[in-house]
Amino acid sequence: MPVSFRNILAASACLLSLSLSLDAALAQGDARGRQIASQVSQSDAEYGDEVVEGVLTINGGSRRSFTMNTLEREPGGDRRAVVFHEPRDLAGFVSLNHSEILRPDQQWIYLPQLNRTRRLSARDKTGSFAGSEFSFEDIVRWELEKYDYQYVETVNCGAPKPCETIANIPRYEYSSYSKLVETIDMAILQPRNIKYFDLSGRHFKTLEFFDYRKVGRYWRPARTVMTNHVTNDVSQILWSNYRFGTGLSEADYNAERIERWAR
Amino acid sequence: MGALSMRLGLGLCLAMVSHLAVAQSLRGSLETGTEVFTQAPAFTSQSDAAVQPYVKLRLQGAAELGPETELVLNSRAVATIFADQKIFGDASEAFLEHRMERYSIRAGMLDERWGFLDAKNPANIFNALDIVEDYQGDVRLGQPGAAFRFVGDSLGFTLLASPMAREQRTPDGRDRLRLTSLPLRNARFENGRWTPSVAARVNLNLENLELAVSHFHGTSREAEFRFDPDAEGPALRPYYRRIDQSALEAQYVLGDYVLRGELIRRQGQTGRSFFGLGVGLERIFYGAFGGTEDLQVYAEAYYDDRPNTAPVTAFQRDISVGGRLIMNNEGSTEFAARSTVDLEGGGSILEFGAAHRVWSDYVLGFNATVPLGGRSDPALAAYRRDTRLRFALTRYF
Repeated sequence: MPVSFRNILAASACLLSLSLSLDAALAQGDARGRQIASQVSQSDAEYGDEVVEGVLTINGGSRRSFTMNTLEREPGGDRRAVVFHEPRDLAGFVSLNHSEILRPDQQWIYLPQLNRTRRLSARDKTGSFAGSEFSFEDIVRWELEKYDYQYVETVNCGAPKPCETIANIPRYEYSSYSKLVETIDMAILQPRNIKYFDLSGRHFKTLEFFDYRKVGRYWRPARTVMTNHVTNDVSQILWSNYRFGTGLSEADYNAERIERWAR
Repeated sequence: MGALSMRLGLGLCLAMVSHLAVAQSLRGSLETGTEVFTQAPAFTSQSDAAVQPYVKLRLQGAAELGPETELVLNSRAVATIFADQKIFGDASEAFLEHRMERYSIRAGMLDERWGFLDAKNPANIFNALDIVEDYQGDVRLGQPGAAFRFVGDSLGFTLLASPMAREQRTPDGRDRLRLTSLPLRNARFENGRWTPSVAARVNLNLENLELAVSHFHGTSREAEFRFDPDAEGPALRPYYRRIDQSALEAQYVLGDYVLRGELIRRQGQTGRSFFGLGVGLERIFYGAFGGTEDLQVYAEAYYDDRPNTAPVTAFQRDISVGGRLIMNNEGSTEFAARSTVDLEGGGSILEFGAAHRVWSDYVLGFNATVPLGGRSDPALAAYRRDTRLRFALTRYF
């Protein structure tokens, strides 16, 4: 059957219409995804600074304890200092991070036995955090502008409100993830779990959050568990003694003062 | 000076430990180990014991004395019957610090570390060297003084003053790793030991670029060695001149690399003024072999046009290439290797190290230092028979 010009025109119009509908649906999904992420971001905003103790265990054995000190900055680019206490040969080791939204972070470490500060290139954040299944990218605080968002689904998760699942698409050029699919408990606006997909699109890690408690006006987990589905290794962090507004300042996060965190 | 540093170090340690015992944080390590030398020494006065056990204690701590005032301690003591000083102690840091939002003042024994490079820091000049503990200059002695520091968002500065000069700790008598066969006697300081030294450093952080300029005016922390006419028999006299040293330090993060450099110009040393330069680059390969292990590699080159009469340095025209493999496993296993090649004399020093946590607070360590080509390289001649293996078990607390 000969293909008439009218048929081509009709088919083109049909394809165009389908494409526009898909774009609109995707845009609507993006808008809904971002709206959910914004709600989560707002619920966690204006905390000033946050200090928390962590105990990391790897496969139920090796144990590391640390303090995580975070300074909130608007419109983004938080500061974070992680100070290790155990094992004792790591006591006083400090990792200081100045987070950037789309550019590589700035990172320094302090080696207490040498009394030396070392600057590191932080473009590649795939390194293991203290030998665990957490990478440096996982340990840096989640910030709204670091991702694009897509709404995935609404699921019943046993909470007073249904949970929303969104995909966080990293905007950072050198991210080691293609997406992070996050299920959010909308009653407390906190994640229940995050599924990590590598650059080939493979789901290879899952982070789960347990035992949320309200500290002041913020919900925080008492336990987080990262499972690597490729190696079957499991890393758990027990969180305790959350404190907000402790009086930390921008000057405390200056690399020239990094050794103070080790004291 | 050895006796003085011993008294100074241990006295301060005891005083501060008594404060810290009732205070917040005190941590440290007790290391027991042995050094094994594979050859007889080059000089007759050196200890010829092939196996030389030692014990090393390190203490670090801090105590809040008020909302803005803190007492800080960082000290060590080493005991070995095969060294010239059988027991040595030093407080590299033992100071009181008063701090405000952006300013701080500290006074006491200070350890001021300048420079960005890994193997050697020509810009690092405020503290005297402890060449007995580490002949490559990584270990420094505490320096009495006061420091005023300002920390801005991107700009900061430090002002330092010290009332006296300390003698560098140099291997002598029974010590292995000696620079010379001649004994060291009667150290002298130009204008006397109690002549103050001052220094200033301005640092600038422009995100990926960090810069610092500094100037030191005072008594050199590195000795020139002269024949001592007053000694019985041939001996060398360490002599410390008044010097001025200006330095420029730079560090730049370029993609996955960190580029580093230090440039100095020193005046006042015997002979003439000279300049020194060190440049290097470093990269860390995360998950280098597909797992959690990280591999850090670096290469650094040093050039120094000091005259022969100036204090000796092991890094006059050298290249240093090294790596560190961090396994990130349960025992935090690490392996390190470095080769330093003297481009002038052709000699080199190979170093290997490994460490592994065996129980929760115990670390087993091994390292080896192998000088090569010492017969033909004057800079390494004294170390030519000093291949050293060190085994250690360290308890951290």
